[in-house]
Amino acid sequence: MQKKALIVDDDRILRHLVKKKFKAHETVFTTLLAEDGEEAVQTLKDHAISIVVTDLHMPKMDGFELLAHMSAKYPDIPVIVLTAYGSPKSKEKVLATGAAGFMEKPFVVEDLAASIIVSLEKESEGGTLHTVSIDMFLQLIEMEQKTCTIRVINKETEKKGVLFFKGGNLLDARIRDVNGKEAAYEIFSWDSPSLSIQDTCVMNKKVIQEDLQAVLFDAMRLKDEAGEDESAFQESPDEEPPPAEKAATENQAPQKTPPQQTAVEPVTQDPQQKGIAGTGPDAAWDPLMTLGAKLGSAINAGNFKTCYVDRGKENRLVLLPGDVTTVVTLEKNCPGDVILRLLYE
Amino acid sequence: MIDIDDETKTIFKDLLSFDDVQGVIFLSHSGERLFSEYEGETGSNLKNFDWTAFTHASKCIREAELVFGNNRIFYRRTELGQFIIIMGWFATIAMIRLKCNELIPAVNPDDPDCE
Repeated sequence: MQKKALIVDDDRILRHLVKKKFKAHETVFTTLLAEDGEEAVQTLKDHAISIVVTDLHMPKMDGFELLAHMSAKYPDIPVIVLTAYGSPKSKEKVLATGAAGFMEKPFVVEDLAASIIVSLEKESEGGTLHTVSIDMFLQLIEMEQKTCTIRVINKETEKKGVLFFKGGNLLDARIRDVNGKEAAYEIFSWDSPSLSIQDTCVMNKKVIQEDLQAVLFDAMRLKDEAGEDESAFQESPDEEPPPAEKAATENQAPQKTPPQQTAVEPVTQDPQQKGIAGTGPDAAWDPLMTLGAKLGSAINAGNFKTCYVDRGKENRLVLLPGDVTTVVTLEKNCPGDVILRLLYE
Repeated sequence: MIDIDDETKTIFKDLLSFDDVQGVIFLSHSGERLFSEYEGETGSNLKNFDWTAFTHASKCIREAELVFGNNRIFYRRTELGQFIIIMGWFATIAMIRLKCNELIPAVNPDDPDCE
């Protein structure tokens, strides 16, 4: 996927000259233009920019203000500063504001292109991975206590996100101008993304307070709720519903009717009942519940509270223990939070 | 009888290293225990558990989560057999499920075995 360089300069001729010359590097990066800091800020919101090249003296929002904004909102995006006043003092001042590079005007466009390419290569200095399991990979980062910046690309939508790790801790995440957990949840929900690893992390502040496992879990839960999770809950066997046999807890195996919704009562539109097709007693599930209780007792698991059942093609169920098992039949599109509430509350 | 190779056994054991996973059991479709590994004392009282009856009772289930006061048990029917993971409250089933899918393709969910 092509990276994007944003050139910010109020000199229209320079902007378009640079863009024209940079066409020779289109296989590496494409060029976007902005005439001042304000336009650059908007472009950063609208596009996943990999590097910014900015002049310092511009109307409206100048290069220093843009550098401050970049440092606060996009600390991972390198900035190369162009200036016509290239004294050692001004260079020092510019680099102190967080710029990654400095180039004096007039400059050779090819030199600027070379600087951009060197900076962009740093994005993947630690390697690039394609079609990986992001949660697996991130847990390795955590285990190895690695410090790095990971750029994630959703290959389906071409959306880009960035994750910041220091000593294996997830500090922050960013998608364009959105950061924190909101960005992390979205990045973690991407299926088989590509990852580029940069072996440094410019972030120091821990914006995401929760640990990685908790954020990953929440992301998976939200994905479940959005109905985008793995097909395990969607796939179905083609066969007719099973004749469940009364299992032999006391060495008996009397035949029972299938655990079906025969005793199920329809449920109305109460929001609390959203996603529930019906509820009612069904003794056909008693053997499973009895054995589940025995299994729990054997491992000192405490009281048997509920049991979630996925039967493939048939509606999923939540079973509640009792003299006769109570069966809550879930609708096919039952939201994840309804299931969690039934199971855990 | 299904033979569980060493690599798969290692992966099963690795599941125990996940946060709050306390036991991993793999049963044949007839309820024979092919593999089990527990953390601490979890498994000592399971020696006499009637896995055959449990297998019979769960034959119409593809995947289940049994929720207890102190623990949860994740069940998955697979092509090779039945997979049972004993967990505390802090283990995340979504993660366990993902791990299973990624690490052990052979334990991807299988259709219920009902006549």
